[in-house]
Amino acid sequence: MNASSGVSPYQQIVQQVKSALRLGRLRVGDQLPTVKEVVGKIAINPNTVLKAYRELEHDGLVAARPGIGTFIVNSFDDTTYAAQRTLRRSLEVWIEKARRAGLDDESIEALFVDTFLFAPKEVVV
Amino acid sequence: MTSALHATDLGKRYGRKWALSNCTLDIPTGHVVGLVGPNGAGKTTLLHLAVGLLTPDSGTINVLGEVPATSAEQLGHIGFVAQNTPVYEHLSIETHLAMGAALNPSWDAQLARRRMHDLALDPSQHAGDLSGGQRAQLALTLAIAKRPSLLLLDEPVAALDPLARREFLATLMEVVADNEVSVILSSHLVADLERVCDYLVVLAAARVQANGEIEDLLASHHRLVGTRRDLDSLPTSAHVVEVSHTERQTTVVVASDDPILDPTWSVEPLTLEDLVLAYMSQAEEQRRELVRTKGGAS
Amino acid sequence: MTWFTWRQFRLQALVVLVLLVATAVFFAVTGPHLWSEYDSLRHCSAHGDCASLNSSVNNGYSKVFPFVQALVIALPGLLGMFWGAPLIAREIESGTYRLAWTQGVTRARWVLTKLLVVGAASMVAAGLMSWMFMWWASPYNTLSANRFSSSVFDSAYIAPIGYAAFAFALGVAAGVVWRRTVPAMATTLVAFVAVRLSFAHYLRPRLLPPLTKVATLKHAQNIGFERTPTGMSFVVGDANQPNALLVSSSVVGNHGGTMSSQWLNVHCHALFHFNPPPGKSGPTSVGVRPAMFTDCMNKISASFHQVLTYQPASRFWTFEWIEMSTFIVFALLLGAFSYWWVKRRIA
Repeated sequence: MNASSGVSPYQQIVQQVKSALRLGRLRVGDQLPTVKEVVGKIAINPNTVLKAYRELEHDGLVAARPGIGTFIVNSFDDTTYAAQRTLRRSLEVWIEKARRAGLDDESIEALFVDTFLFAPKEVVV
Repeated sequence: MTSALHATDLGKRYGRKWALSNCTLDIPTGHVVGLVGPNGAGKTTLLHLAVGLLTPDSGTINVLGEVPATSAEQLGHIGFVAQNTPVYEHLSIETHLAMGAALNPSWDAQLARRRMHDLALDPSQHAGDLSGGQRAQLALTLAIAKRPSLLLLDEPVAALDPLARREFLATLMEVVADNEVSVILSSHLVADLERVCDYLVVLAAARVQANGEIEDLLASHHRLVGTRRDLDSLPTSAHVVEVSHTERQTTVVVASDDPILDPTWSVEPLTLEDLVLAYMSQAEEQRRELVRTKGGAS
Repeated sequence: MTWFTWRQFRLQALVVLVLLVATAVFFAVTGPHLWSEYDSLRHCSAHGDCASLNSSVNNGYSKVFPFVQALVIALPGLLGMFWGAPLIAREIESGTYRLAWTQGVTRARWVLTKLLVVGAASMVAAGLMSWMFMWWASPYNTLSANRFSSSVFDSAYIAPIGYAAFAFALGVAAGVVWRRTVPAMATTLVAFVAVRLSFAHYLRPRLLPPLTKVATLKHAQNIGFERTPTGMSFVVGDANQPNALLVSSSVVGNHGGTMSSQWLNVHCHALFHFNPPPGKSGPTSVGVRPAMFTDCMNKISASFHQVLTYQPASRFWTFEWIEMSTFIVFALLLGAFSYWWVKRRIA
């Protein structure tokens, strides 16, 4: 939880759950921590957590089972997940090449961000 | 729906000085309410009036629909943690819990014991030997084990180190998550309140300066920056909270439900802390002005 | 609430309990011996060795008696200071009232329970102490025949119970008004002593109309003459009234009037103009002019008599009851005050 990021706490929760889904750290069937568990760890208003869970439910990603908990019912495209594994490996290879070429970490990051920002937004099929 | 706290023109005086005046509030249940203001603004006075430790000098106050401290039952519905968490120094934790059980109509002994266990507190220890954070947790346990409908806390974390503070607030939030309990807590640290509260009351110069759901407050308050000017161009419904001029620039904090359409104003976001500070500094400025004119007149 | 009152009060109660037990042990150890000596004294008249037994009993008591009696007389005041004054003042001083008054008991019940529990305890403590003491000291008191005197009366049987209730209630009230323990203790002490002394000195002798007794001066003891700024005056000791409370005594002429210094000058001229040393002449100076002295006394007792007003020994218990009840009424009034003050005004 980042208090000064300018992003509201409930949005941070939503984003964290979504990115965990994308990176495969959360799978379909997993249970999200209860509201009580969340606020017990980070002292925030329970309504904030409820609001975040409700938005995730609205997005169709989770479902609340009364008395039991909130569970992941949908993830992002599985193909995306599989493609992620391949892409991650390609990225690792590229990073190794960049290091062998003598770039330091900051240069690698800057090169990637720069290329990413100016890359075409749509996939040209 | 009964309000958690309903005050009409409430006032309390010490000698000739009014610690609280013209206080009108209607705080709904089901919220975690932050009571914020500088020291001496009247926060403790308001809370003490709410639990019946003080009686009003003017106006009325009702808590959960009843006049405070009139019956044992009513007292049993309200949990209170006073400033600096008073405890009986020479009595053990066990005795404090037994006191809670003996003196309250409803008492969840299991909850109390479990909390002491979770905190790894030895029940035979004297309350005077506990650290500040442990004492605060004991006081909180005494307040929540009676299963209240309303929890009132007077600066519960002011004297605690950051870790103890975080643990206390986390515990409080767990209680709120688990039970249908309304909370009113006072503090002069806005950062803490922003995390845990969803409703805010700003007290400054012995008066209520602002109150409402935090979401609504943030949505309706804006900071406007523009070239130095008068404030006529603002919509009439806008209420100016604080204004400051430099040679070239005017900065205004306004409360306005209508949008600010004048493009010469640049509208900036306002954090809760900014909002509270704006009200507090305005109140302070008014108070100083009053003192100056009084001094000038005599 | 009753349980918690006891729990808070535990340590203070323990201290007094230890004191009572220690005193009881002392009485139990020394008492039987003194009593048996006293018993032999009662049966000794036939054998004639009473004088030494008498002094033996007296000696047995005289060393410790003042201390023990002081303890018994002081106990109510101490209870008022240490049980009464902190009762509410300490909670306010330390801020724990903010915890106590926000539990599920009303303030009214809180203060009432504390008043009744600790008040009753102080009455019991004082009662135990005084009854134990009276048992132990009874031989001594009987011999001294001074039951109605201030020191014995004040430590006898039931009066201390009233004093304790009063001192306690006084302490609580002082604590409620001052909101601080130390000033409350000081106020309690001062006020308690003042009330007790005034009552004993001014009111007690007049609780019921005293009886009057006329006594001849022929066999008066402790007589003498005193040179005052206005002339000579006659002083006489009070006639012996065992176990009675003397209210006043005066020397009155057979046809009314008092003895003036002119009368003395006329009738006892010879005695006074024999260069008597200034100041009081007592029995020791009689040897100077015994004949003149006896002559003067005969004239005095022919023309004057002593008038005593007193409360008879038979009224001892009545007075004890009156005193105890009066102080309990004071205590109830103060208790009601404290109750009202805490309930309505204190914050």
